[in-house]
Amino acid sequence: MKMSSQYHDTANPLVSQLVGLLDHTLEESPDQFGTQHWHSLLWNLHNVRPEDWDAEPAPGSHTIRDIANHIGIVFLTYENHVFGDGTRSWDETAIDGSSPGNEPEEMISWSREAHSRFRSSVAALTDSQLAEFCP
Amino acid sequence: MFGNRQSPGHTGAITMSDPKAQIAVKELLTLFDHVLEEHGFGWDHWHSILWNLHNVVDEEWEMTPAGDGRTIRELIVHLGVSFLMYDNHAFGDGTRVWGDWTIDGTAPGSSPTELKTWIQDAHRCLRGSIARLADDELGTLRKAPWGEAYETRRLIELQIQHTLYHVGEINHIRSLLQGNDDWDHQDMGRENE
Repeated sequence: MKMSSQYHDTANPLVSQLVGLLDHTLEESPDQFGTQHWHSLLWNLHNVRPEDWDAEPAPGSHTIRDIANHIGIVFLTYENHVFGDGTRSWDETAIDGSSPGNEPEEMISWSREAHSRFRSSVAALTDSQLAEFCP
Repeated sequence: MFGNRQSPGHTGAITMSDPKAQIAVKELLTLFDHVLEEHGFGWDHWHSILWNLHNVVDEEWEMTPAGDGRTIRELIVHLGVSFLMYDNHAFGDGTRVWGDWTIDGTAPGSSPTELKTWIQDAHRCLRGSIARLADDELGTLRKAPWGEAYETRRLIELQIQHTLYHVGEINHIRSLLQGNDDWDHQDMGRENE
Protein backbone atom coordinates (compact mmCIF):
# COMPACT_ATOMS: atom_id res chain seq x y z
CA MET A 1 0.00 0.00 0.00
CA LYS A 2 1.29 3.45 -0.88
CA MET A 3 0.27 6.50 1.11
CA SER A 4 0.54 9.86 -0.59
CA SER A 5 0.01 13.43 0.49
CA GLN A 6 -2.84 15.70 -0.56
CA TYR A 7 -1.01 18.84 0.61
CA HIS A 8 0.86 20.52 -2.18
CA ASP A 9 0.66 24.28 -2.00
CA THR A 10 3.67 25.21 -4.08
CA ALA A 11 3.33 28.91 -3.26
CA ASN A 12 3.50 28.41 0.51
CA PRO A 13 4.79 24.92 1.13
CA LEU A 14 5.82 25.54 4.73
CA VAL A 15 2.44 26.88 5.72
CA SER A 16 0.88 23.98 3.85
CA GLN A 17 3.03 21.58 5.83
CA LEU A 18 2.00 23.11 9.14
CA VAL A 19 -1.68 23.18 8.15
CA GLY A 20 -1.39 19.49 7.34
CA LEU A 21 0.01 18.81 10.78
CA LEU A 22 -2.69 20.92 12.41
CA ASP A 23 -5.38 19.09 10.44
CA HIS A 24 -4.06 15.80 11.67
CA THR A 25 -4.36 16.81 15.31
CA LEU A 26 -8.10 16.94 14.60
CA GLU A 27 -8.42 13.96 12.28
CA GLU A 28 -5.99 11.64 10.52
CA SER A 29 -6.90 10.06 7.23
CA PRO A 30 -6.40 6.31 6.81
CA ASP A 31 -5.41 7.11 3.22
CA GLN A 32 -2.31 8.88 4.49
CA PHE A 33 -1.50 6.90 7.62
CA GLY A 34 -2.95 3.47 7.01
CA THR A 35 -3.69 1.79 10.32
CA GLN A 36 -1.69 4.41 12.19
CA HIS A 37 -4.41 7.07 12.27
CA TRP A 38 -5.19 6.92 15.96
CA HIS A 39 -3.54 10.03 17.43
CA SER A 40 -6.15 12.65 16.63
CA LEU A 41 -8.75 14.39 18.77
CA LEU A 42 -11.76 12.99 16.89
CA TRP A 43 -10.40 9.46 16.73
CA ASN A 44 -9.88 9.49 20.47
CA LEU A 45 -13.44 10.68 21.05
CA HIS A 46 -15.11 8.19 18.73
CA ASN A 47 -15.30 5.40 21.29
CA VAL A 48 -15.98 7.54 24.36
CA ARG A 49 -19.39 6.58 25.72
CA PRO A 50 -21.75 9.41 26.71
CA GLU A 51 -21.30 8.64 30.41
CA ASP A 52 -17.50 8.71 30.08
CA TRP A 53 -17.42 12.38 29.13
CA ASP A 54 -17.98 13.57 32.69
CA ALA A 55 -16.45 10.66 34.58
CA GLU A 56 -13.41 11.35 36.77
CA PRO A 57 -10.75 8.62 36.85
CA ALA A 58 -9.86 9.92 40.30
CA PRO A 59 -11.73 12.39 42.50
CA GLY A 60 -11.19 15.92 41.29
CA SER A 61 -9.27 14.94 38.15
CA HIS A 62 -9.81 16.18 34.62
CA THR A 63 -12.72 14.75 32.68
CA ILE A 64 -12.71 14.14 28.94
CA ARG A 65 -15.14 17.04 28.60
CA ASP A 66 -12.75 19.29 30.53
CA ILE A 67 -9.90 18.38 28.19
CA ALA A 68 -11.90 18.69 24.95
CA ASN A 69 -13.21 22.03 26.18
CA HIS A 70 -9.68 23.16 27.03
CA ILE A 71 -8.36 22.21 23.60
CA GLY A 72 -11.16 24.11 21.84
CA ILE A 73 -10.65 27.21 23.96
CA VAL A 74 -6.93 27.11 23.23
CA PHE A 75 -7.66 27.08 19.48
CA LEU A 76 -9.98 30.05 19.88
CA THR A 77 -7.77 32.06 22.21
CA TYR A 78 -4.64 31.51 20.15
CA GLU A 79 -6.53 32.49 17.00
CA ASN A 80 -7.84 35.66 18.56
CA HIS A 81 -4.61 36.75 20.21
CA VAL A 82 -2.23 35.81 17.40
CA PHE A 83 -4.39 36.80 14.45
CA GLY A 84 -7.26 38.85 15.84
CA ASP A 85 -7.89 41.72 18.21
CA GLY A 86 -6.58 39.94 21.30
CA THR A 87 -9.69 40.51 23.38
CA ARG A 88 -10.89 36.94 23.92
CA SER A 89 -10.51 35.63 27.48
CA TRP A 90 -9.85 32.03 28.53
CA ASP A 91 -13.31 31.59 30.04
CA GLU A 92 -15.10 32.55 26.83
CA THR A 93 -16.21 29.33 25.15
CA ALA A 94 -18.79 30.63 22.68
CA ILE A 95 -18.25 30.70 18.93
CA ASP A 96 -20.56 33.29 17.40
CA GLY A 97 -22.77 32.93 20.44
CA SER A 98 -22.84 29.11 20.39
CA SER A 99 -21.46 27.38 23.46
CA PRO A 100 -19.90 23.89 23.39
CA GLY A 101 -23.18 22.31 24.51
CA ASN A 102 -23.66 19.23 26.67
CA GLU A 103 -24.12 16.39 24.22
CA PRO A 104 -21.06 14.64 22.75
CA GLU A 105 -22.22 15.51 19.24
CA GLU A 106 -22.43 19.17 20.22
CA MET A 107 -18.98 19.08 21.78
CA ILE A 108 -17.50 17.42 18.73
CA SER A 109 -19.13 19.93 16.41
CA TRP A 110 -17.87 22.79 18.58
CA SER A 111 -14.36 21.32 18.63
CA ARG A 112 -14.39 21.10 14.85
CA GLU A 113 -15.48 24.70 14.55
CA ALA A 114 -12.86 25.92 17.04
CA HIS A 115 -10.17 24.06 15.12
CA SER A 116 -11.52 25.44 11.84
CA ARG A 117 -11.24 29.02 13.10
CA PHE A 118 -7.59 28.64 14.00
CA ARG A 119 -6.86 26.62 10.88
CA SER A 120 -8.29 29.32 8.62
CA SER A 121 -5.97 31.95 10.07
CA VAL A 122 -2.95 29.69 9.80
CA ALA A 123 -3.82 28.75 6.21
CA ALA A 124 -4.06 32.42 5.25
CA LEU A 125 -0.40 32.97 6.11
CA THR A 126 2.39 33.07 3.59
CA ASP A 127 5.66 31.27 4.25
CA SER A 128 7.43 34.59 4.70
CA GLN A 129 5.09 35.46 7.57
CA LEU A 130 5.99 32.44 9.67
CA ALA A 131 8.95 34.16 11.24
CA GLU A 132 6.93 37.17 12.34
CA PHE A 133 6.55 37.69 16.06
CA CYS A 134 3.12 37.34 17.57
CA PRO A 135 1.86 37.85 21.13
CA MET B 1 4.73 38.81 29.87
CA PHE B 2 5.59 37.88 26.32
CA GLY B 3 9.09 38.12 24.92
CA ASN B 4 10.22 37.89 21.35
CA ARG B 5 11.33 34.36 20.64
CA GLN B 6 12.58 33.09 17.34
CA SER B 7 13.06 29.49 16.45
CA PRO B 8 16.72 28.60 15.85
CA GLY B 9 15.65 27.00 12.59
CA HIS B 10 14.25 30.26 11.22
CA THR B 11 16.36 33.04 9.88
CA GLY B 12 13.76 35.32 8.34
CA ALA B 13 12.21 35.15 4.88
CA ILE B 14 11.58 31.66 3.60
CA THR B 15 12.01 30.49 0.03
CA MET B 16 11.99 26.94 -1.30
CA SER B 17 13.20 27.35 -4.85
CA ASP B 18 16.22 25.10 -4.30
CA PRO B 19 15.11 21.46 -4.42
CA LYS B 20 18.10 20.52 -2.28
CA ALA B 21 17.11 23.06 0.34
CA GLN B 22 16.27 21.91 3.84
CA ILE B 23 13.75 24.53 4.80
CA ALA B 24 10.79 22.18 5.18
CA VAL B 25 13.06 19.50 6.64
CA LYS B 26 14.34 21.92 9.26
CA GLU B 27 10.79 22.84 10.21
CA LEU B 28 9.96 19.18 10.77
CA LEU B 29 13.27 18.68 12.55
CA THR B 30 12.47 21.50 14.94
CA LEU B 31 9.08 19.98 15.69
CA PHE B 32 10.74 16.61 16.19
CA ASP B 33 13.33 18.15 18.53
CA HIS B 34 10.55 19.65 20.60
CA VAL B 35 8.90 16.31 21.29
CA LEU B 36 12.08 15.49 23.22
CA GLU B 37 12.69 18.89 24.77
CA GLU B 38 11.19 22.31 24.03
CA HIS B 39 13.11 25.54 23.70
CA GLY B 40 11.89 28.95 22.62
CA PHE B 41 8.45 28.74 24.20
CA GLY B 42 8.96 30.73 27.40
CA TRP B 43 7.18 28.98 30.27
CA ASP B 44 4.89 27.11 27.87
CA HIS B 45 7.39 24.29 27.40
CA TRP B 46 5.64 21.38 29.04
CA HIS B 47 4.71 19.01 26.19
CA SER B 48 7.99 17.14 25.74
CA ILE B 49 9.23 13.75 26.88
CA LEU B 50 11.95 15.07 29.16
CA TRP B 51 9.77 17.70 30.76
CA ASN B 52 7.13 15.13 31.57
CA LEU B 53 9.73 12.86 33.16
CA HIS B 54 11.37 15.50 35.32
CA ASN B 55 8.89 15.20 38.19
CA VAL B 56 8.31 11.45 38.00
CA VAL B 57 9.73 10.04 41.21
CA ASP B 58 11.76 6.85 40.91
CA GLU B 59 9.15 4.41 42.20
CA GLU B 60 6.49 5.79 39.86
CA TRP B 61 8.29 4.53 36.75
CA GLU B 62 7.01 1.00 37.42
CA MET B 63 3.59 1.85 38.86
CA THR B 64 0.13 1.80 37.29
CA PRO B 65 -2.56 4.16 38.59
CA ALA B 66 -5.37 1.56 38.70
CA GLY B 67 -4.97 -2.17 38.22
CA ASP B 68 -3.36 -3.35 35.04
CA GLY B 69 -2.10 -0.85 32.51
CA ARG B 70 1.00 0.66 31.03
CA THR B 71 3.76 2.01 33.22
CA ILE B 72 5.75 5.12 32.45
CA ARG B 73 8.80 2.93 31.94
CA GLU B 74 6.94 0.83 29.36
CA LEU B 75 5.85 3.94 27.49
CA ILE B 76 9.38 5.34 27.38
CA VAL B 77 10.75 2.05 26.07
CA HIS B 78 7.95 1.96 23.49
CA LEU B 79 8.75 5.50 22.33
CA GLY B 80 12.46 4.76 22.09
CA VAL B 81 11.94 1.51 20.21
CA SER B 82 9.59 3.35 17.81
CA PHE B 83 12.32 5.90 17.08
CA LEU B 84 14.78 3.07 16.40
CA MET B 85 12.38 1.01 14.32
CA TYR B 86 11.26 3.92 12.16
CA ASP B 87 14.88 4.93 11.64
CA ASN B 88 15.96 1.45 10.65
CA HIS B 89 13.02 0.62 8.40
CA ALA B 90 12.62 4.01 6.71
CA PHE B 91 16.29 4.90 6.41
CA GLY B 92 18.27 1.76 7.14
CA ASP B 93 18.38 -1.89 6.19
CA GLY B 94 14.98 -2.76 7.65
CA THR B 95 16.26 -5.63 9.77
CA ARG B 96 15.57 -4.33 13.27
CA VAL B 97 12.76 -6.04 15.16
CA TRP B 98 10.46 -4.61 17.84
CA GLY B 99 12.08 -6.80 20.48
CA ASP B 100 15.49 -5.25 19.91
CA TRP B 101 15.84 -2.38 22.38
CA THR B 102 19.58 -1.92 22.14
CA ILE B 103 21.52 0.97 20.66
CA ASP B 104 25.00 -0.17 19.67
CA GLY B 105 24.66 -2.96 22.22
CA THR B 106 23.40 -0.75 25.03
CA ALA B 107 20.00 -1.62 26.53
CA PRO B 108 17.66 0.97 28.05
CA GLY B 109 18.77 0.04 31.57
CA SER B 110 16.56 0.10 34.60
CA SER B 111 17.22 3.38 36.38
CA PRO B 112 15.45 6.62 35.37
CA THR B 113 18.80 8.17 34.54
CA GLU B 114 19.70 5.29 32.22
CA LEU B 115 16.29 5.38 30.55
CA LYS B 116 16.50 9.13 29.97
CA THR B 117 19.93 8.76 28.40
CA TRP B 118 18.69 5.89 26.24
CA ILE B 119 15.58 7.73 25.00
CA GLN B 120 17.74 10.70 24.04
CA ASP B 121 20.08 8.39 22.12
CA ALA B 122 17.14 6.73 20.36
CA HIS B 123 15.71 10.11 19.42
CA ARG B 124 19.13 11.15 18.11
CA CYS B 125 19.28 8.12 15.81
CA LEU B 126 16.08 9.04 13.97
CA ARG B 127 16.88 12.74 14.13
CA GLY B 128 20.16 12.13 12.35
CA SER B 129 18.43 10.44 9.45
CA ILE B 130 15.83 13.20 9.17
CA ALA B 131 18.52 15.88 9.27
CA ARG B 132 20.24 14.39 6.21
CA LEU B 133 17.12 14.74 4.04
CA ALA B 134 16.59 17.43 1.43
CA ASP B 135 13.18 19.01 0.97
CA ASP B 136 12.60 17.25 -2.32
CA GLU B 137 12.95 13.90 -0.53
CA LEU B 138 10.01 14.49 1.79
CA GLY B 139 7.65 13.02 -0.79
CA THR B 140 9.77 9.91 -1.27
CA LEU B 141 8.02 6.70 -0.27
CA ARG B 142 9.79 4.83 2.51
CA LYS B 143 8.95 1.79 4.54
CA ALA B 144 7.19 1.93 7.87
CA PRO B 145 8.23 -0.77 10.37
CA TRP B 146 5.27 -2.93 9.35
CA GLY B 147 6.22 -2.86 5.68
CA GLU B 148 3.81 -0.35 4.14
CA ALA B 149 5.22 2.57 2.19
CA TYR B 150 4.43 6.12 3.26
CA GLU B 151 5.63 9.52 2.19
CA THR B 152 8.71 10.43 4.21
CA ARG B 153 6.96 13.52 5.61
CA ARG B 154 4.13 11.37 6.92
CA LEU B 155 6.53 8.99 8.66
CA ILE B 156 8.21 11.93 10.38
CA GLU B 157 4.82 13.34 11.29
CA LEU B 158 3.77 10.01 12.74
CA GLN B 159 6.79 10.08 15.04
CA ILE B 160 5.85 13.56 16.19
CA GLN B 161 2.16 12.74 16.72
CA HIS B 162 2.86 9.34 18.22
CA THR B 163 5.31 10.76 20.74
CA LEU B 164 3.00 13.55 21.87
CA TYR B 165 0.16 11.04 22.18
CA HIS B 166 2.15 8.92 24.63
CA VAL B 167 3.67 11.89 26.45
CA GLY B 168 0.09 12.86 27.28
CA GLU B 169 -0.37 9.40 28.73
CA ILE B 170 2.79 9.74 30.80
CA ASN B 171 1.53 13.03 32.18
CA HIS B 172 -1.83 11.47 32.99
CA ILE B 173 -0.33 8.40 34.68
CA ARG B 174 2.01 10.57 36.76
CA SER B 175 -0.73 12.98 37.79
CA LEU B 176 -3.08 10.16 38.80
CA LEU B 177 -0.30 8.49 40.79
CA GLN B 178 0.50 11.76 42.50
CA GLY B 179 -3.14 12.78 43.00
CA ASN B 180 -2.73 16.08 41.18
CA ASP B 181 -4.63 15.57 37.92
CA ASP B 182 -6.20 19.00 38.04
CA TRP B 183 -5.72 22.47 36.62
CA ASP B 184 -4.13 23.79 39.81
CA HIS B 185 -1.16 21.47 39.37
CA GLN B 186 -0.63 21.66 35.64
CA ASP B 187 2.30 24.01 36.23
CA MET B 188 3.93 21.61 38.65
CA GLY B 189 7.65 22.14 38.82
CA ARG B 190 7.64 24.91 36.29
CA GLU B 191 8.04 27.59 38.91
CA ASN B 192 11.66 26.47 39.31
CA GLU B 193 12.51 26.92 35.63
